[in-house]
Amino acid sequence: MGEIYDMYGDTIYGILTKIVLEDGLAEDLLQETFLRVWTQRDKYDTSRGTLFTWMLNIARNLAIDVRRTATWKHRHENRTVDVSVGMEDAAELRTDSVDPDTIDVRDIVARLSADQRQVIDMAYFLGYSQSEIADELGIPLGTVKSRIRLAMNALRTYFGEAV
Amino acid sequence: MTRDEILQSGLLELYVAGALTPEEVTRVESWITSDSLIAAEVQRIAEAVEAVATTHRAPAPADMKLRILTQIDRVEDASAARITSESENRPTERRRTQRPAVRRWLVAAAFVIGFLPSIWFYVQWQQSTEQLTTTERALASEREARSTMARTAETIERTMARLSDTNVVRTPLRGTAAAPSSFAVVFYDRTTNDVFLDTKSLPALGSNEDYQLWALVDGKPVDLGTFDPAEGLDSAVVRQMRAVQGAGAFAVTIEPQGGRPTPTLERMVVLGVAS
Repeated sequence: MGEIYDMYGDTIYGILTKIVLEDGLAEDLLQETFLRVWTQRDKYDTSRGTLFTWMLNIARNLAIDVRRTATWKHRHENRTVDVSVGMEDAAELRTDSVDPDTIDVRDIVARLSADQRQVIDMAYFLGYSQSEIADELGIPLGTVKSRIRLAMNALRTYFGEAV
Repeated sequence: MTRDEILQSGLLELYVAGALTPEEVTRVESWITSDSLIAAEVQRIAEAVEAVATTHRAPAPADMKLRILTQIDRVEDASAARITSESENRPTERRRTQRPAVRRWLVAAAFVIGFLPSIWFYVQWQQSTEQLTTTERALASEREARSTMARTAETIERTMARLSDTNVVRTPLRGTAAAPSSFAVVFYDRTTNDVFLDTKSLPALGSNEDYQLWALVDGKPVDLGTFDPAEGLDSAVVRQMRAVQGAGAFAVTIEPQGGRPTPTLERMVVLGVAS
Protein backbone atom coordinates (compact mmCIF):
# COMPACT_ATOMS: atom_id res chain seq x y z
CA MET A 1 0.00 0.00 0.00
CA GLY A 2 2.90 2.32 0.78
CA GLU A 3 4.29 1.73 -2.68
CA ILE A 4 0.94 2.42 -4.31
CA TYR A 5 0.77 5.64 -2.35
CA ASP A 6 4.23 6.65 -3.52
CA MET A 7 3.21 6.03 -7.10
CA TYR A 8 -0.21 7.63 -7.19
CA GLY A 9 -0.74 9.64 -3.99
CA ASP A 10 0.27 13.02 -5.37
CA THR A 11 -1.58 12.58 -8.64
CA ILE A 12 -4.84 11.60 -6.96
CA TYR A 13 -4.40 14.39 -4.45
CA GLY A 14 -3.89 16.90 -7.26
CA ILE A 15 -7.06 15.77 -8.98
CA LEU A 16 -9.02 15.80 -5.72
CA THR A 17 -7.99 19.39 -4.96
CA LYS A 18 -9.14 20.36 -8.42
CA ILE A 19 -12.58 18.90 -7.84
CA VAL A 20 -13.25 19.98 -4.25
CA LEU A 21 -11.14 23.16 -4.36
CA GLU A 22 -10.02 22.79 -0.71
CA ASP A 23 -6.76 21.28 0.46
CA GLY A 24 -8.13 20.01 3.78
CA LEU A 25 -11.06 18.30 2.09
CA ALA A 26 -8.77 16.81 -0.54
CA GLU A 27 -6.60 15.34 2.23
CA ASP A 28 -9.60 13.70 3.88
CA LEU A 29 -10.75 12.35 0.54
CA LEU A 30 -7.29 11.06 -0.31
CA GLN A 31 -7.29 9.17 2.97
CA GLU A 32 -10.77 7.79 2.30
CA THR A 33 -9.77 6.80 -1.23
CA PHE A 34 -6.84 4.73 -0.04
CA LEU A 35 -8.92 3.17 2.71
CA ARG A 36 -11.49 2.09 0.12
CA VAL A 37 -8.82 0.84 -2.23
CA TRP A 38 -7.59 -1.30 0.64
CA THR A 39 -10.98 -2.62 1.78
CA GLN A 40 -12.29 -3.16 -1.76
CA ARG A 41 -9.09 -4.48 -3.27
CA ASP A 42 -10.75 -7.77 -4.18
CA LYS A 43 -13.12 -5.85 -6.45
CA TYR A 44 -10.34 -4.55 -8.65
CA ASP A 45 -10.59 -6.22 -12.05
CA THR A 46 -7.46 -5.94 -14.18
CA SER A 47 -9.44 -6.32 -17.41
CA ARG A 48 -11.33 -3.09 -16.77
CA GLY A 49 -8.52 -0.60 -16.77
CA THR A 50 -5.38 -0.01 -14.78
CA LEU A 51 -5.06 0.05 -11.02
CA PHE A 52 -4.70 3.78 -11.33
CA THR A 53 -7.93 4.34 -13.28
CA TRP A 54 -9.76 2.17 -10.76
CA MET A 55 -8.42 4.30 -7.91
CA LEU A 56 -9.16 7.44 -9.84
CA ASN A 57 -12.80 6.41 -10.20
CA ILE A 58 -13.06 5.79 -6.46
CA ALA A 59 -11.48 9.16 -5.67
CA ARG A 60 -13.56 11.04 -8.20
CA ASN A 61 -16.85 9.56 -7.04
CA LEU A 62 -16.03 10.48 -3.45
CA ALA A 63 -15.16 14.01 -4.50
CA ILE A 64 -18.34 14.41 -6.56
CA ASP A 65 -20.41 13.29 -3.58
CA VAL A 66 -18.77 16.00 -1.50
CA ARG A 67 -19.48 18.61 -4.14
CA ARG A 68 -23.14 17.69 -4.13
CA THR A 69 -23.54 18.40 -0.40
CA ALA A 70 -25.31 21.55 0.66
CA THR A 71 -22.41 22.62 2.86
CA TRP A 72 -19.95 22.49 0.01
CA LYS A 73 -22.31 24.31 -2.34
CA HIS A 74 -22.89 26.97 0.29
CA ARG A 75 -19.18 27.51 0.78
CA HIS A 76 -18.53 27.77 -2.93
CA GLU A 77 -21.68 29.58 -3.96
CA ASN A 78 -19.94 32.17 -6.01
CA ARG A 79 -17.40 29.91 -7.58
CA THR A 80 -18.40 27.99 -10.64
CA VAL A 81 -15.71 25.71 -11.86
CA ASP A 82 -14.27 27.16 -14.99
CA VAL A 83 -12.43 24.21 -16.32
CA SER A 84 -10.16 25.97 -18.75
CA VAL A 85 -9.15 28.63 -16.22
CA GLY A 86 -8.59 25.88 -13.69
CA MET A 87 -6.19 24.26 -16.08
CA GLU A 88 -4.19 27.41 -16.69
CA ASP A 89 -3.89 28.00 -12.96
CA ALA A 90 -2.83 24.48 -12.44
CA ALA A 91 -0.25 24.73 -15.20
CA GLU A 92 1.27 27.78 -13.52
CA LEU A 93 1.24 26.20 -10.09
CA ARG A 94 2.87 23.10 -11.42
CA THR A 95 5.93 24.81 -12.81
CA ASP A 96 7.56 25.11 -9.39
CA SER A 97 7.21 21.43 -8.60
CA VAL A 98 8.03 20.00 -11.97
CA ASP A 99 8.57 16.32 -12.14
CA PRO A 100 10.90 15.67 -15.08
CA ASP A 101 8.95 12.52 -15.93
CA THR A 102 5.82 14.49 -16.63
CA ILE A 103 7.24 17.26 -18.79
CA ASP A 104 6.72 15.36 -21.99
CA VAL A 105 3.19 14.46 -21.06
CA ARG A 106 2.41 18.07 -20.38
CA ASP A 107 3.85 19.10 -23.73
CA ILE A 108 1.70 16.48 -25.33
CA VAL A 109 -1.41 17.62 -23.49
CA ALA A 110 -0.62 21.18 -24.53
CA ARG A 111 -0.88 20.09 -28.14
CA LEU A 112 -4.56 19.29 -27.77
CA SER A 113 -7.07 21.93 -28.79
CA ALA A 114 -8.70 23.82 -25.94
CA ASP A 115 -11.98 21.98 -26.64
CA GLN A 116 -10.30 18.62 -26.44
CA ARG A 117 -8.42 19.44 -23.25
CA GLN A 118 -11.55 20.70 -21.63
CA VAL A 119 -13.55 17.63 -22.44
CA ILE A 120 -10.79 15.26 -21.25
CA ASP A 121 -10.39 17.11 -17.98
CA MET A 122 -14.11 17.22 -17.39
CA ALA A 123 -14.61 13.54 -18.07
CA TYR A 124 -11.52 12.04 -16.49
CA PHE A 125 -10.44 14.37 -13.76
CA LEU A 126 -13.41 16.49 -12.77
CA GLY A 127 -15.95 13.71 -12.76
CA TYR A 128 -18.56 15.07 -15.10
CA SER A 129 -20.97 12.54 -16.59
CA GLN A 130 -21.45 12.67 -20.34
CA SER A 131 -24.80 14.42 -20.01
CA GLU A 132 -23.31 16.95 -17.58
CA ILE A 133 -20.57 17.66 -20.11
CA ALA A 134 -23.18 18.07 -22.84
CA ASP A 135 -25.20 20.46 -20.65
CA GLU A 136 -22.21 22.42 -19.49
CA LEU A 137 -20.78 22.89 -22.98
CA GLY A 138 -24.13 23.11 -24.76
CA ILE A 139 -23.31 20.36 -27.21
CA PRO A 140 -25.20 17.14 -28.10
CA LEU A 141 -24.35 13.88 -26.34
CA GLY A 142 -23.03 12.37 -29.57
CA THR A 143 -20.58 15.24 -29.89
CA VAL A 144 -19.34 14.63 -26.32
CA LYS A 145 -18.54 11.03 -27.22
CA SER A 146 -16.83 11.82 -30.48
CA ARG A 147 -14.88 14.72 -29.02
CA ILE A 148 -13.51 12.59 -26.19
CA ARG A 149 -12.75 9.87 -28.69
CA LEU A 150 -10.83 12.29 -30.92
CA ALA A 151 -8.99 13.84 -28.00
CA MET A 152 -7.86 10.48 -26.70
CA ASN A 153 -6.85 9.42 -30.18
CA ALA A 154 -4.81 12.57 -30.60
CA LEU A 155 -3.15 11.99 -27.22
CA ARG A 156 -2.28 8.45 -28.09
CA THR A 157 -0.86 9.49 -31.44
CA TYR A 158 1.35 12.05 -29.68
CA PHE A 159 2.34 9.48 -27.08
CA GLY A 160 3.27 7.17 -29.92
CA GLU A 161 5.55 9.87 -31.34
CA ALA A 162 7.08 10.59 -27.97
CA VAL A 163 7.98 7.00 -27.23
CA MET B 1 -22.66 -2.81 -33.07
CA THR B 2 -19.67 -4.08 -34.98
CA ARG B 3 -16.26 -3.99 -33.39
CA ASP B 4 -15.26 -0.96 -35.45
CA GLU B 5 -18.40 0.88 -34.49
CA ILE B 6 -17.68 0.13 -30.85
CA LEU B 7 -14.10 1.37 -31.16
CA GLN B 8 -15.28 4.55 -32.90
CA SER B 9 -18.23 5.18 -30.61
CA GLY B 10 -16.35 6.97 -27.85
CA LEU B 11 -18.08 4.68 -25.34
CA LEU B 12 -14.86 2.96 -24.32
CA GLU B 13 -13.24 6.29 -23.51
CA LEU B 14 -16.24 7.31 -21.42
CA TYR B 15 -16.25 3.89 -19.77
CA VAL B 16 -12.72 4.41 -18.49
CA ALA B 17 -13.78 7.86 -17.33
CA GLY B 18 -16.61 6.29 -15.34
CA ALA B 19 -18.95 8.68 -17.16
CA LEU B 20 -21.37 6.15 -18.68
CA THR B 21 -24.87 5.28 -17.56
CA PRO B 22 -25.26 1.93 -15.73
CA GLU B 23 -26.87 0.35 -18.82
CA GLU B 24 -24.00 1.45 -21.03
CA VAL B 25 -21.51 0.14 -18.46
CA THR B 26 -23.14 -3.29 -18.60
CA ARG B 27 -22.92 -3.27 -22.38
CA VAL B 28 -19.29 -2.20 -22.49
CA GLU B 29 -18.36 -4.82 -19.90
CA SER B 30 -19.96 -7.57 -21.94
CA TRP B 31 -17.90 -6.43 -24.95
CA ILE B 32 -14.75 -6.45 -22.85
CA THR B 33 -15.42 -10.01 -21.73
CA SER B 34 -16.22 -11.30 -25.20
CA ASP B 35 -13.67 -9.44 -27.34
CA SER B 36 -10.02 -9.34 -26.40
CA LEU B 37 -9.31 -6.56 -28.90
CA ILE B 38 -11.82 -4.33 -27.17
CA ALA B 39 -10.35 -5.29 -23.80
CA ALA B 40 -6.92 -4.30 -25.11
CA GLU B 41 -8.29 -0.97 -26.35
CA VAL B 42 -9.75 -0.23 -22.91
CA GLN B 43 -6.38 -1.03 -21.39
CA ARG B 44 -4.63 1.37 -23.76
CA ILE B 45 -7.11 4.13 -23.01
CA ALA B 46 -6.56 3.59 -19.28
CA GLU B 47 -2.80 3.82 -19.77
CA ALA B 48 -3.17 7.09 -21.69
CA VAL B 49 -5.42 8.48 -18.94
CA GLU B 50 -2.84 7.48 -16.35
CA ALA B 51 -0.13 9.34 -18.25
CA VAL B 52 -2.25 12.46 -18.65
CA ALA B 53 -3.28 12.31 -15.00
CA THR B 54 0.30 12.91 -13.91
CA THR B 55 -0.02 16.47 -15.25
CA HIS B 56 -2.42 17.14 -12.37
CA ARG B 57 0.03 16.02 -9.73
CA ALA B 58 0.29 18.19 -6.63
CA PRO B 59 2.39 17.35 -3.58
CA ALA B 60 0.19 16.04 -0.77
CA PRO B 61 1.30 16.95 2.78
CA ALA B 62 4.34 14.92 3.84
CA ASP B 63 2.54 13.12 6.65
CA MET B 64 -0.32 11.88 4.44
CA LYS B 65 1.30 8.55 3.75
CA LEU B 66 1.75 7.80 7.43
CA ARG B 67 -1.79 8.95 8.22
CA ILE B 68 -3.20 6.67 5.54
CA LEU B 69 -1.18 3.61 6.51
CA THR B 70 -2.00 4.11 10.19
CA GLN B 71 -5.69 4.40 9.41
CA ILE B 72 -5.65 1.23 7.33
CA ASP B 73 -3.97 -0.55 10.22
CA ARG B 74 -6.56 0.71 12.66
CA VAL B 75 -9.45 -0.35 10.44
CA GLU B 76 -7.95 -3.79 9.97
CA ASP B 77 -7.54 -4.22 13.73
CA ALA B 78 -11.08 -3.04 14.37
CA SER B 79 -12.61 -5.41 11.84
CA ALA B 80 -10.60 -8.32 13.22
CA ALA B 81 -11.86 -7.45 16.71
CA ARG B 82 -15.43 -7.20 15.44
CA ILE B 83 -15.34 -10.63 13.84
CA THR B 84 -14.04 -12.12 17.08
CA SER B 85 -16.63 -10.45 19.28
CA GLU B 86 -19.48 -11.32 16.91
CA SER B 87 -18.58 -14.95 16.93
CA GLU B 88 -18.22 -15.05 20.73
CA ASN B 89 -21.15 -13.01 22.00
CA ARG B 90 -24.23 -14.54 20.49
CA PRO B 91 -24.80 -18.04 21.82
CA THR B 92 -28.58 -17.61 22.31
CA GLU B 93 -29.21 -16.46 18.81
CA ARG B 94 -27.19 -19.21 17.36
CA ARG B 95 -30.00 -21.03 15.57
CA ARG B 96 -31.37 -17.90 13.99
CA THR B 97 -28.04 -16.56 12.89
CA GLN B 98 -26.57 -19.82 11.82
CA ARG B 99 -26.93 -19.27 8.11
CA PRO B 100 -25.50 -15.74 8.05
CA ALA B 101 -22.74 -16.99 10.34
CA VAL B 102 -21.95 -19.77 7.95
CA ARG B 103 -21.95 -17.29 5.15
CA ARG B 104 -19.71 -15.01 7.14
CA TRP B 105 -17.29 -17.83 7.73
CA LEU B 106 -17.43 -18.74 4.07
CA VAL B 107 -16.60 -15.15 3.21
CA ALA B 108 -13.80 -15.18 5.75
CA ALA B 109 -12.54 -18.49 4.37
CA ALA B 110 -12.74 -17.20 0.81
CA PHE B 111 -10.88 -14.13 1.94
CA VAL B 112 -8.16 -16.20 3.57
CA ILE B 113 -7.91 -18.50 0.57
CA GLY B 114 -7.81 -15.50 -1.72
CA PHE B 115 -4.99 -14.15 0.35
CA LEU B 116 -2.99 -17.33 0.60
CA PRO B 117 -1.10 -16.67 -2.63
CA SER B 118 -0.18 -13.19 -1.42
CA ILE B 119 0.98 -14.57 1.90
CA TRP B 120 2.89 -17.28 0.10
CA PHE B 121 4.54 -14.72 -2.18
CA TYR B 122 5.30 -12.50 0.76
CA VAL B 123 6.94 -15.35 2.66
CA GLN B 124 8.85 -16.39 -0.46
CA TRP B 125 9.94 -12.84 -0.94
CA GLN B 126 11.07 -12.55 2.68
CA GLN B 127 12.96 -15.81 2.41
CA SER B 128 14.66 -14.91 -0.81
CA THR B 129 15.63 -11.55 0.66
CA GLU B 130 17.17 -13.38 3.60
CA GLN B 131 18.89 -15.83 1.29
CA LEU B 132 20.20 -12.98 -0.76
CA THR B 133 21.65 -11.29 2.32
CA THR B 134 23.25 -14.54 3.47
CA THR B 135 24.67 -15.20 0.03
CA GLU B 136 25.99 -11.67 -0.21
CA ARG B 137 27.65 -12.02 3.19
CA ALA B 138 29.17 -15.38 2.24
CA LEU B 139 30.41 -13.91 -1.01
CA ALA B 140 31.99 -10.98 0.79
CA SER B 141 33.84 -13.20 3.25
CA GLU B 142 34.85 -15.50 0.39
CA ARG B 143 36.21 -12.49 -1.46
CA GLU B 144 38.09 -11.35 1.64
CA ALA B 145 39.57 -14.83 2.18
CA ARG B 146 40.71 -14.91 -1.42
CA SER B 147 42.42 -11.57 -1.23
CA THR B 148 44.13 -12.57 2.03
CA MET B 149 45.34 -15.75 0.35
CA ALA B 150 46.53 -13.78 -2.65
CA ARG B 151 48.45 -11.42 -0.36
CA THR B 152 50.00 -14.33 1.55
CA ALA B 153 50.98 -16.09 -1.66
CA GLU B 154 52.57 -12.92 -2.95
CA THR B 155 54.57 -12.43 0.26
CA ILE B 156 55.75 -16.06 0.20
CA GLU B 157 56.78 -15.77 -3.42
CA ARG B 158 58.69 -12.55 -2.82
CA THR B 159 60.41 -14.02 0.25
CA MET B 160 61.28 -17.25 -1.51
CA ALA B 161 62.78 -15.32 -4.40
CA ARG B 162 64.72 -13.26 -1.90
CA LEU B 163 65.98 -16.30 0.04
CA SER B 164 67.18 -18.15 -3.02
CA ASP B 165 69.61 -15.32 -3.67
CA THR B 166 73.19 -16.70 -3.70
CA ASN B 167 74.33 -14.22 -1.04
CA VAL B 168 71.83 -15.56 1.46
CA VAL B 169 73.24 -18.02 3.97
CA ARG B 170 71.02 -20.47 5.79
CA THR B 171 71.76 -20.82 9.49
CA PRO B 172 69.87 -23.47 11.47
CA LEU B 173 69.19 -22.57 15.13
CA ARG B 174 68.95 -25.68 17.30
CA GLY B 175 67.14 -26.19 20.60
CA THR B 176 69.04 -25.51 23.79
CA ALA B 177 68.97 -27.69 26.90
CA ALA B 178 66.00 -25.60 28.08
CA ALA B 179 63.99 -26.47 24.95
CA PRO B 180 65.69 -29.36 23.15
CA SER B 181 62.99 -29.97 20.53
CA SER B 182 62.95 -26.36 19.35
CA PHE B 183 64.18 -25.42 15.92
CA ALA B 184 64.34 -22.30 13.76
CA VAL B 185 66.21 -21.12 10.68
CA VAL B 186 67.79 -17.74 9.99
CA PHE B 187 68.51 -16.61 6.43
CA TYR B 188 71.20 -13.99 6.51
CA ASP B 189 72.29 -11.84 3.59
CA ARG B 190 75.83 -10.69 4.33
CA THR B 191 75.85 -8.11 1.50
CA THR B 192 72.61 -6.32 2.45
CA ASN B 193 72.61 -7.38 6.14
CA ASP B 194 68.96 -8.50 5.83
CA VAL B 195 67.81 -11.14 8.33
CA PHE B 196 64.88 -13.51 7.76
CA LEU B 197 63.57 -15.89 10.39
CA ASP B 198 61.62 -19.10 9.87
CA THR B 199 60.27 -20.39 13.18
CA LYS B 200 59.81 -24.12 12.69
CA SER B 201 59.09 -25.13 16.28
CA LEU B 202 59.33 -23.05 19.43
CA PRO B 203 57.98 -23.70 22.94
CA ALA B 204 54.66 -22.09 23.79
CA LEU B 205 54.72 -18.55 25.16
CA GLY B 206 53.18 -17.64 28.48
CA SER B 207 50.81 -14.69 28.54
CA ASN B 208 52.67 -11.36 28.48
CA GLU B 209 55.67 -12.96 26.81
CA ASP B 210 57.35 -12.49 23.41
CA TYR B 211 60.10 -14.20 21.50
CA GLN B 212 63.10 -12.00 20.83
CA LEU B 213 65.77 -12.61 18.17
CA TRP B 214 69.37 -11.68 18.92
CA ALA B 215 72.53 -11.53 16.85
CA LEU B 216 75.98 -11.85 18.37
CA VAL B 217 78.25 -9.21 16.85
CA ASP B 218 81.83 -9.35 18.14
CA GLY B 219 80.54 -11.33 21.12
CA LYS B 220 77.90 -8.74 22.05
CA PRO B 221 74.09 -9.36 21.75
CA VAL B 222 72.24 -7.07 19.33
CA ASP B 223 68.42 -6.87 19.48
CA LEU B 224 66.83 -7.87 16.15
CA GLY B 225 63.24 -7.48 17.35
CA THR B 226 60.44 -9.39 19.07
CA PHE B 227 57.78 -11.53 17.41
CA ASP B 228 54.83 -13.76 18.12
CA PRO B 229 54.42 -16.54 15.54
CA ALA B 230 50.71 -16.82 16.27
CA GLU B 231 50.11 -13.22 15.38
CA GLY B 232 49.12 -11.79 12.06
CA LEU B 233 49.54 -12.67 8.46
CA ASP B 234 53.23 -13.54 8.58
CA SER B 235 52.76 -16.36 11.07
CA ALA B 236 52.68 -18.63 8.03
CA VAL B 237 55.71 -17.22 6.33
CA VAL B 238 59.30 -16.37 6.93
CA ARG B 239 59.43 -13.01 8.63
CA GLN B 240 61.98 -10.30 8.05
CA MET B 241 63.69 -9.08 11.22
CA ARG B 242 65.93 -6.08 11.87
CA ALA B 243 69.09 -5.95 9.69
CA VAL B 244 72.48 -6.45 11.29
CA GLN B 245 76.07 -6.25 10.12
CA GLY B 246 78.74 -8.83 10.92
CA ALA B 247 76.57 -11.28 12.86
CA GLY B 248 78.50 -14.30 14.12
CA ALA B 249 75.59 -16.15 15.71
CA PHE B 250 71.79 -15.91 16.21
CA ALA B 251 69.64 -16.85 19.18
CA VAL B 252 65.99 -16.62 20.27
CA THR B 253 65.05 -15.97 23.89
CA ILE B 254 61.68 -15.70 25.62
CA GLU B 255 61.28 -12.25 27.17
CA PRO B 256 58.56 -10.17 28.83
CA GLN B 257 56.20 -8.63 26.29
CA GLY B 258 57.91 -5.93 24.22
CA GLY B 259 61.35 -7.48 24.71
CA ARG B 260 64.37 -6.40 26.73
CA PRO B 261 67.60 -4.53 25.89
CA THR B 262 69.69 -7.58 26.87
CA PRO B 263 68.83 -11.27 26.51
CA THR B 264 67.77 -13.44 29.42
CA LEU B 265 70.22 -16.27 28.84
CA GLU B 266 68.37 -18.81 31.02
CA ARG B 267 65.42 -18.49 28.68
CA MET B 268 67.31 -18.97 25.43
CA VAL B 269 65.43 -21.58 23.34
CA VAL B 270 67.43 -21.86 20.09
CA LEU B 271 70.98 -20.95 19.05
CA GLY B 272 73.02 -21.25 15.86
CA VAL B 273 76.39 -20.05 14.60
CA ALA B 274 76.33 -18.16 11.31
CA SER B 275 78.45 -19.82 8.66
